[in-house]
Parts: sequence; structure tokens; C-alpha cells
Amino acid sequence: MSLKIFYENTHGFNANIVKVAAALSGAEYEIVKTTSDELKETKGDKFTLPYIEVEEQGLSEVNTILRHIARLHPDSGLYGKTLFENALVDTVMDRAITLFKASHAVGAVAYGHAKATAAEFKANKEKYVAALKHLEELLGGKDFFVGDAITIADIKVAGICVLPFRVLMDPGTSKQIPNLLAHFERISGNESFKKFFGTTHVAKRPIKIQFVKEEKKVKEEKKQAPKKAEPKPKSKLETLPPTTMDLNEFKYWFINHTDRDAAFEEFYTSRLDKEGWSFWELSYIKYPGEGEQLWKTNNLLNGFIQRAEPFGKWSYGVQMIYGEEPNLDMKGVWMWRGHEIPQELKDHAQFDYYTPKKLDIDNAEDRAYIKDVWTAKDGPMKDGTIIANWSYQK
Amino acid sequence: MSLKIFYKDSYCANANSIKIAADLSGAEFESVKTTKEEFTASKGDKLSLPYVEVEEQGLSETNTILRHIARLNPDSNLYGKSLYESAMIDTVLDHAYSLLEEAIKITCTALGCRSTTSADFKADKEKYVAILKELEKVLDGKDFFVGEGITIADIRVASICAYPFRLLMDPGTAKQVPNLIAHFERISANESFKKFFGTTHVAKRPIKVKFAKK
Repeated sequence: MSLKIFYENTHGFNANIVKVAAALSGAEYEIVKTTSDELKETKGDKFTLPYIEVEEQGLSEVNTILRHIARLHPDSGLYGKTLFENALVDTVMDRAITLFKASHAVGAVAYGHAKATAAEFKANKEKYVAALKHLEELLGGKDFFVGDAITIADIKVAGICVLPFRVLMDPGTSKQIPNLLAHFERISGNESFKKFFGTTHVAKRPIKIQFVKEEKKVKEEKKQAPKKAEPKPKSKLETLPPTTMDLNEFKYWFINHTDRDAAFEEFYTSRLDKEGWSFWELSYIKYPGEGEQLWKTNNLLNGFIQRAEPFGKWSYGVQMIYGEEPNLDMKGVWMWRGHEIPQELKDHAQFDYYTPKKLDIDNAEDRAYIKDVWTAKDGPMKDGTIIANWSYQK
Repeated sequence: MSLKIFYKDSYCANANSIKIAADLSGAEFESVKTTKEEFTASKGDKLSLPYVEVEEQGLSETNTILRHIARLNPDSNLYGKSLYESAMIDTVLDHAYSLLEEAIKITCTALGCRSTTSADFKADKEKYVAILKELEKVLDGKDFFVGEGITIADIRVASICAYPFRLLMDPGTAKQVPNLIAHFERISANESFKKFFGTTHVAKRPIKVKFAKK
């Protein structure tokens, strides 16, 4: 059963951890250098590097890959020799996730890939050392984390430690994790480990790190801030094909019409540009305790309409409170440009609290409903629903 | 092969996920309520609760225990039906490991057992939602994370989500993870799940959270 290991960077420690495990498992394997873009093109966007394939089944995520390689080769002992040892290996692998995150945070600053103040670095380093101490405790002075031979637990932990031990070890930390250091030297001395990681060593003193001063960091953040003042990108609504219906003219005509029922019929048959506009019901999702008092519910209604004002040049809507205290609800019918929910409405602070439902004005039932909501005003609606308040967007 | 599950609190999501897995595995098991002090006195301070013993071999760490129960009872298919399915379950469990950390932070803040500023809570919540979205992508519209039946991946994720979904779900987040919510409703309706978590629900709006001032 042949294994293909796809990786991007020769110095990528995650990929090297996988290669070490493959080498120690006794598997036949092939290493394929690639890029993230090529992987995405050939395998889709579900997978990341490093990635492996066995009999055309692909996997990402280093811990997943290590376990899979170990399971495929049980005689290698890489997952332990009993079910209980499997479980002990699992515990170390999970702890290694915490170590990975913590070492990544300090390593990125040490290598200059990320900026941090001295205080931020100190806080991250404390988490890193805490993770190391936890593993020191799990190791408990043994040669290997589990059993009497190397497992994926040993490979994973040693692999994560290569770079931070090389650049960040200090005498204070090494005194707290003597067994883990001895373990690292033991595992990194393994021929398969050296094949991919090269000769490693543990620093006696950490490298000097350039920290950002707090004021300098704030200035740099402020320098980036003016980017926010750049002109807003054009709205997608402005790029829609032109419409034959003038919204302002429609609003003026419809709102002031003395017979809204007749006006709606005329609107539907001869004024509406169906290609350019769509219709939606917006139903409010009530929070427990809401809808019990009309005055409070009015505030919600008015707040929604007011915040929808900037959207007014693209829409016309009617929103109402219906029912009676203490069971009031809110819903409305809106017409807006285009046939999707526009970003302008998604940006409305309260839009998340509404359930949108697209309506079809050519469907008789939907059309009757739209008309009913738009003309009901003081109510009741055709189905007898009592209207407590009714408001339209001007 | 009998299993002993030691736990501290009946509401503990970690302990409950283990009990659910044990129940669904078909294993004989016993739940033993204990305290941290009693546990430390009898097992030493290297192990933590929840803790499981099988034939006098003990384990802590929820993901480790879930895998172990599933391996001990392969006919339950809780670890998938093939090695490849086991690998896919591993990926979900690793994501769940990260999710747990963020879910605990925001739930504890919401319940008042952790003091956080609103800015810090917002940052914590963004990390939590980012992981939910990753899981939504992994779930990819399926009924279960892996295969056609419930596995420890489903149990673990649904258990972690039980409290934050009940207290902190908001419409904005719900819209981004619709399949994960449907998954949660499906798994939480399972009789074994209800046995230990009770009846759960997904909030329509989050509770009001009290924040510390800067």
C-alpha cells in the first residue's frame, strides 16, 4: 500500500513530521513537492498541505495523517502495542495541539513573521512553557512517551520543538523540562528524523528578538487606519441593468393615491418592472419577553425603519406590528432592486433578527398577500389579523 | 468488559459526552459521581476528571476516552467502519479540541463565572464562530460528520455546542452554520443524548451578557 506525501516547503516541520512517521512505519512512500494553489486546483479546497493519499483516499491535518499512517502499519508499533497504549498516544497527540499553537505564537515573533510587544511575547511564552511542562509531566522521566519505543507521540512532540528549541531555549526553561530536553535529543538523533530535519540542537541562550514598542505599534496601527477612509466601493445595486420604474415617482404616486387597492392593481399590471425588482417578506424573530407591550414594540419597528433609510433609494417597504398585547409580532413586505438580498440590507444592524422570504408577485397568493400588507394600514388584514401599527419606508 | 466513568458535575459536557458514547457503544458501564479532592486522594494528581477505568487501566482527557471506548467496541461503529473513516473522525475530534477551548470561554463569560470586557468577549466569540464555520465546511451538508451513522465525532461536537447554542446563538451566526445547527438538533434528539443532557434547544437570540469595564 503506497503512500504519497504532498508538501510545499522543505523546512515545513509539519510535512517533515509526516515524512519521519512514513519512514519509520516501513511504508512505501513517495514525496511530492507542490504548492497550495496546485493542490486546490487538483483536489479542491477541502484539503491543505501537508496532504497524503493512500489508494486515492486523501487526508490533511498532521495528527490525522500520523494516526492513519500508524494504523495502516500496526506492526511498526507507531500507535503503541495495545489499545491502552493507543489511548496514551492519543493523550500526548492532543496535548501537542496546545504546544503547537503556543510555540507557533512565539516562533513567529522570533523569526520576524509577526510583531509583538515585549509584554505580549512574555504572555505567549508563558503559555508555551506551560505546555512544555505539561508534556514533561506526561513523559515522567521515561525514554518515550508511551511504551518502550518511538511512537507518533514522540515524533510529533519532537517535530514541533525543533525550531523553538533551536532559537528560544533559555536556562530557566530548560531547568523546568530536563526530561523533555533529553527526549528531544534522543528522538532528533534518530536517523529518519535527521534525514528530514537535519542536525538539530538546543540553544543555550535565546536569540535576541526585536519587539515593537507599544507606542510604535499604536502608530503603525494608526498608519494603517487611513485605509478605512478610502472611498467606498461601488454598490452592486448600481451595476444592475437600468430599470424602467422610477422609485421616487412610484413612492409619491402610491403613497398619496386615494385608492390604494386600485393603485396596486395598476402598479402590478403597468408600472412594475419585474426584471428589476423583487419582493420579500421580512418576519421578526422575537426574543423571549418581546412583543408584550406595544410601546416597546413600536420602538423596535421605528428603529428598523429609521436604520433602513440609507437603503431607501433602492427600496420601498411596509413594516407592521400585528396581533395584540402580550403577543405582538412584526413583519412586513419589501420591494427592492435586484433579486438577491443586497449588502446594504445585510449591513443593517437589525437585519439578522429578521427572517427573509422571497415572494413571487406573479403567484396569485403571494400577490394578494403583498397587496394586503401594502394597503392594510389600519387593518384588519383580509384574514382578520389585527394591525397594531403600520409604517412605511419613505 | 465493564467501564467505570468518574465525573464531578452532572452538567459537565465532557463527562456527558463520554456517558453518551458509552451508552451508544453497547458497553456495560457505571457512572461514579466524585469530587476533585476524593479523586486526587485515590488516583493521584496526574489525572483529571472526567476519568474512565477499564480493567483497572485509567484514562483522562475526553477525546482520548471517546476514542478508547469506540475502539473497545468496534461493532458500535462509533469510530467509523473503515480506517479511512476513523481518520476523518480524527480530523473532526481535533477541530472539536479547539472548539472546546473557545466555547468554554464564552459560555463561562455568559454565565458570569468569567469576567471579560466586551472587546475581549467579541474577540473570543469571533474565534468560536470561526471554528464553527470550519466544522460547517467539514460537515458539508451531511447528516453525520462521517459515514451514515452517529460516531464519536458527532457526539463530541454536539456536546460541546449544547451550552453555547442554548445561551449564545444569534441569528447572524445561525445563518452561517445552518447545517451544523440541523446536525445539533438531530444528535441532541438522540435518546442517549437526551438521557444525559436533557432536552436542549438552540436559542433564537443570545442572553444579555454582563461585561467587566476596562
